[in-house]
Amino acid sequence: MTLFPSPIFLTLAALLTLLFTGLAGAGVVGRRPSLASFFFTLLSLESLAIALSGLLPLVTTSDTRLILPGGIPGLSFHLRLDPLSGFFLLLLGGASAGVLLYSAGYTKNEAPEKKAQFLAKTTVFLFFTGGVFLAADVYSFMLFWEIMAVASFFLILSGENTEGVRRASYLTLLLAHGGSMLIVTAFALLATRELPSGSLTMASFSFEALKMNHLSSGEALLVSLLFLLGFGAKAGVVPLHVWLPLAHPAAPAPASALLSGVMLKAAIYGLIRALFDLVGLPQLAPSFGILLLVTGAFMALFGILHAILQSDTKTLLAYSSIENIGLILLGTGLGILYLKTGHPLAGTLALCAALYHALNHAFFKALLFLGAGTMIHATGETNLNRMGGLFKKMPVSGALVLIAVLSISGIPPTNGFVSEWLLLQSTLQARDLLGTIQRSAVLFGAAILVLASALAAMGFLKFFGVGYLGQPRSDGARAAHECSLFERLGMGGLAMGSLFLGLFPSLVLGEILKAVSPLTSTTLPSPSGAYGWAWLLPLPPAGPSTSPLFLLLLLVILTLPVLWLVLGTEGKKRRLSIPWGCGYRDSYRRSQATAESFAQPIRHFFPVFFSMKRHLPSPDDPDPVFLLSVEDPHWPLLYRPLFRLFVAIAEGAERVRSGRISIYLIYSFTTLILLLSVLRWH
Amino acid sequence: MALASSFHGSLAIAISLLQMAFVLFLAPLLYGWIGTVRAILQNRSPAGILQPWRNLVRLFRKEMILPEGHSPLFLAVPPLFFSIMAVAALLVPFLGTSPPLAPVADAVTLVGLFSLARFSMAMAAMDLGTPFGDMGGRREMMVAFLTEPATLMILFTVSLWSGSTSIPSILTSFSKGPLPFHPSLLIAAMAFILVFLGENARLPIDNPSTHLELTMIHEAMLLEYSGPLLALMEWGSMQKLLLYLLLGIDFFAPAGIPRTFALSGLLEGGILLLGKLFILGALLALIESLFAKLRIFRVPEFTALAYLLSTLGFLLHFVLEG
Repeated sequence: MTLFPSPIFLTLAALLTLLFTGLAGAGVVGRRPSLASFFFTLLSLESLAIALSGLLPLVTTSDTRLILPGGIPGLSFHLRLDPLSGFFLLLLGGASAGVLLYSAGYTKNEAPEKKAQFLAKTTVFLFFTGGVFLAADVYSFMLFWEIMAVASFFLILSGENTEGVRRASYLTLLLAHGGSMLIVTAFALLATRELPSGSLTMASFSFEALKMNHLSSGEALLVSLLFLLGFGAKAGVVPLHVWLPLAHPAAPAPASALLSGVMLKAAIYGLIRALFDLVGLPQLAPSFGILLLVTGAFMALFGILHAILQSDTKTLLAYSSIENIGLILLGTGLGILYLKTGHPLAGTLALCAALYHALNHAFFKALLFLGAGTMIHATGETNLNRMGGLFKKMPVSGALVLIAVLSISGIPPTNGFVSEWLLLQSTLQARDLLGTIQRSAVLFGAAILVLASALAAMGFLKFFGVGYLGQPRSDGARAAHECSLFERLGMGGLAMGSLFLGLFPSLVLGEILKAVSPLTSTTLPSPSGAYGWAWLLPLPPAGPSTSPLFLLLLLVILTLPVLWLVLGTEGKKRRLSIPWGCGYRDSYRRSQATAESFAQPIRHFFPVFFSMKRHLPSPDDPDPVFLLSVEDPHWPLLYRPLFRLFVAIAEGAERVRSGRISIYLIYSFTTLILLLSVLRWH
Repeated sequence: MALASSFHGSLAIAISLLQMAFVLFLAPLLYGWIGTVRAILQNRSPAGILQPWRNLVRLFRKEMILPEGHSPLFLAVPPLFFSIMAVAALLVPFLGTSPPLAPVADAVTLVGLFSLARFSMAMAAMDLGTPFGDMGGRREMMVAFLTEPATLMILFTVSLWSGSTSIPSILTSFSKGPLPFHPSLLIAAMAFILVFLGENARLPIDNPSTHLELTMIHEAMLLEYSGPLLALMEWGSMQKLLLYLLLGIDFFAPAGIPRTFALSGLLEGGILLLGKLFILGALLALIESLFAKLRIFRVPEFTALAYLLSTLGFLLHFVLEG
C-alpha cells in the first residue's frame, strides 16, 4: 500500500481537480465560449475519477482518515473515507459524469456568461456535496452542508429569472436552513452526552467523539427525530417536501438532475451516517424504525399519487422523487426494525436494498430529468399535453428515456426492479418478527410498496405515452428534432449505468454490502458456484433467486426469431392504411389521451390525498365554465395557515417598535437585568 | 448454479421445450373450451374447441395492414408480448414442481414479467394516438394498478409457509402432506379469482367478445393490429390466461403435480392437470355467463376488493396462523 497514496488523498485530489477545472473553465468560457464543451467533457471525466476513487474503499474495504489544519480553534478539519462515504461518492461521480457530459450539449445555445456561471455553480455544488460525504466532524460537515445548500439555491436560480423561480429557490433555502438548525441541535445534544461528561470542548464535536455518547433511550429518540426532520427537510420528507415540486421544475434540466439524483442522496447519507454511526445502532429504538417505515410508506404513496396527477413534465418527476425517497426511507426503517429485534441478516438486506435503490434512483432519475430537458428544448413546451409524437422525432433519446421509464416502474430486467425486489424480499422476512404491531407495520409497508410500484408504472406510462407516443399536440412538438450528440452521450452513459446496475445485481450488491456491514456488523452469505455473478440470491441457499440477465437473454432469444418470422420475410404482404379515428381522418389527434385523463381515476379513487376545487356548470348556465384545481393538501392545511400565523406574530411584534430611543434603552436594560438574574440563579 | 445442480444440459432444454410447447399448443384449446361452454350455457351452438386455433392460422396467413404513422415500437411489441408469455411458460411449474429454469425468476419476477408485457402492450396501444388505443391503454393501467399489487400480496401469502418467493419452494412447502384448513389461503384464493378476471380481461371487468366502443379495454388496445401481428397478440393473451390458471392450480390445488420429471409421473400428472383445466375452464365460463359487465367506473372498486382481500389474507396468516 505504500506505493499508492491512501484512498482519501486520491478522492480529495479528484474533488479538488474538479473544483479547479470548473472554476478555471468558468473563467475561460466567459471569453472563449467555444471551449465550454471541452470543459464539460473534462469535468465529466473527472467525475468518473471521483466515482472510481469512491469505488476504491468499497473494493479494498479500507477506512482512511485525514486531519487537515484549519477549521476553528480546537477543531481542525476531520475527513474520513470509509466504504459508506465511498458508496455515496460513487453515486455522485457516476450520476454527475452523465449530467456534465449532457450539459455540454444542453447549454450550447446559452450566452457565454450563463455557461460560465453554470460551470462554476455545478462544480462548487459537486465539490461541497463530495465534502459532505467526507466530513468527519460537526464543523466541517455543517460547513460543507450549508455551502451545498446555498449552491443548490443558486443552481435553481440559474433557470429563467421569474417570480416563480425566485420563490421556489427561496423556499428551498428556507427549508434547508430550518433543517440545518435541527441538525445542529441534534449534534449539540449528542455532544453534551459524551463520556466523560461535563468536559465539553471543541474536540468533542468530531464524529469519533460523538460516537461515544451515552444517550438515554428518550434522548436517543429525540435526537433521531431531530435528524430525521433536519435531513428530511433536504430529502423532501413529507410534510417538509413542498419546496421540491417547485424547485425541480424551476431549475434547468442538468441542475434538476443533480438536485434529484445527488442532493437528495446527500440527505439520505446524512441520515444514515447520523443514525447508524453517530447515535449508534445500540441506542436506536425499534419504534423509530417503525416510524421511519411508516413515513417512508406514506411518502411513497403520496409522492406517486401526486406524480400521476401532474401534467408538467418536471413536476411529475419531482413528485416521483418523493416516492423514491420514501422507498429508501422504508428500507432504512425496515433495517432498523430488524436489526433492533435480533434479525441482523434481514436488517442488513433491507439496508442494502435501501442503498441499492438510492444508487438506482440517482441514475434513472437523472436520466429522466435529462430526458425531460431534451423534450422541453425540442418542443419549447413544458406541459406533457403539448408534446406527443416525440418518439418518432427523437428515437435515440426516446429509447434512452424508455430504459429509465421501465426502470422507475420497477419492471424487469431493469435496475429499478432489482432494488424493489430486494426491498420486497426484506419485507417478507417479517414472518420471523414477533409482536403484532411490528408485523403489521411491515405488512403495511409491503402492501404500500407493491401498490406504489404498480402506480409508478401507470404514472410513467402516462409520462412516456403522452409525451413520446401518439401524435404531436402542438406546433412545437411537430417541429421537434433529435437532441445534440453530447446530450445523447450523457444520457447514454446514465442508461448504460442503469443497465449495468440491473443486469449484474450480485456484483453491485456485493459492493453495497461492504458499505452496510460495518454499520450492522453483519454480512450476508455470498452466493457461490458457477456464474454466481449472474444471479441475485441474497439469502442462499434456499432463498428466492432471480436473474435479470438470464431473463433478458431468454427474451431476446425468443423475440428476435419471432420478429424475423413475422416481419423479416419478404413474401409477406404488407400495406399501410389509415388508423381508425372513429370516422375522422385527422381530427382524432385532438381526442388523444391527455395527462388529465390518466389522472382522473386516481383523483376519484384517492380523494383524501388531494385538495380539490371543482366547479361544474349547471345545464342552464349561459356562461358555462368548467374548473378543476388540484393542490397539494399541505399548502391549504399546513403552510398557508403557518405563514398567516407568522405574519400575524410579526405584525403584533411591530407594536413594540415605537421608534423612540428611550423605549429601546429600557428594553436593553430589562434584558440585561433578566440575563444577569438568570446567571445568578444558576 | 441451481440450474446446474438439478438438471443437465440436454434434459433441461428438453423439459423446457416441452413446457413451452405444452402451453403454446394448449392455450388456444383452453380458449376454445371456455367459448364452447359459454355457448352451451347461453343456448348458442358452439364453434368447437378448435375455433381459436383456426382463427390463429387464418390470421397468420393474412396480409398485414399497418396503420399510417406507426413507430418501430408498434411492430416490436407483438413479438415481445408473445415471447414474454412463452418465457413465463418456462417458469411456471405444472409438469413437475421445479422446472429447470425456475431459478431464473421467482414469483415476484414473474409478476414483473407480466407487468412488462402489460406495459409494452399499453405503449403499443398509445403509439398511434387513436382514441381507442389511448383509452384501452389507460384503462388497462387503471385495472392493473390494483390487480398487480393484489397478485403480489397473494403470492406473498402463499410464500409464507416456505419463507421464500421461489415458486418451486412454495410448491414443496404445500406438498408436505395434506394441508389443514387455512383461512388465509381461502381468502387469498378468493382474491386470486378476482385478480384472474381482471388481469385476463374477462367478465365482469372486460368482455373478451365485444367491440363495443364504450366498454372495451383489452380489445381496444389491439384495434389497429391485423394479420400475424394480431395473431401474436391473441396467442400471447391466450397463453397468459392459461398461465394464470396454472399458477392458481399451483398455489391452491397443487395435488398431483409430480416432484420429478419421470415419464410415468408425467403422464399421470398431465392427465390430472388437463382434468383440472377442464373444470376450471368450465367454471370460468359459468362465472362469465352469470355476471354482467361492470360499469367502467366501478372497476376500481372490484380490483380494490381484490387488493384488500389479498392484504387481509396476508394479515390473517400472521394473526391466526403465525
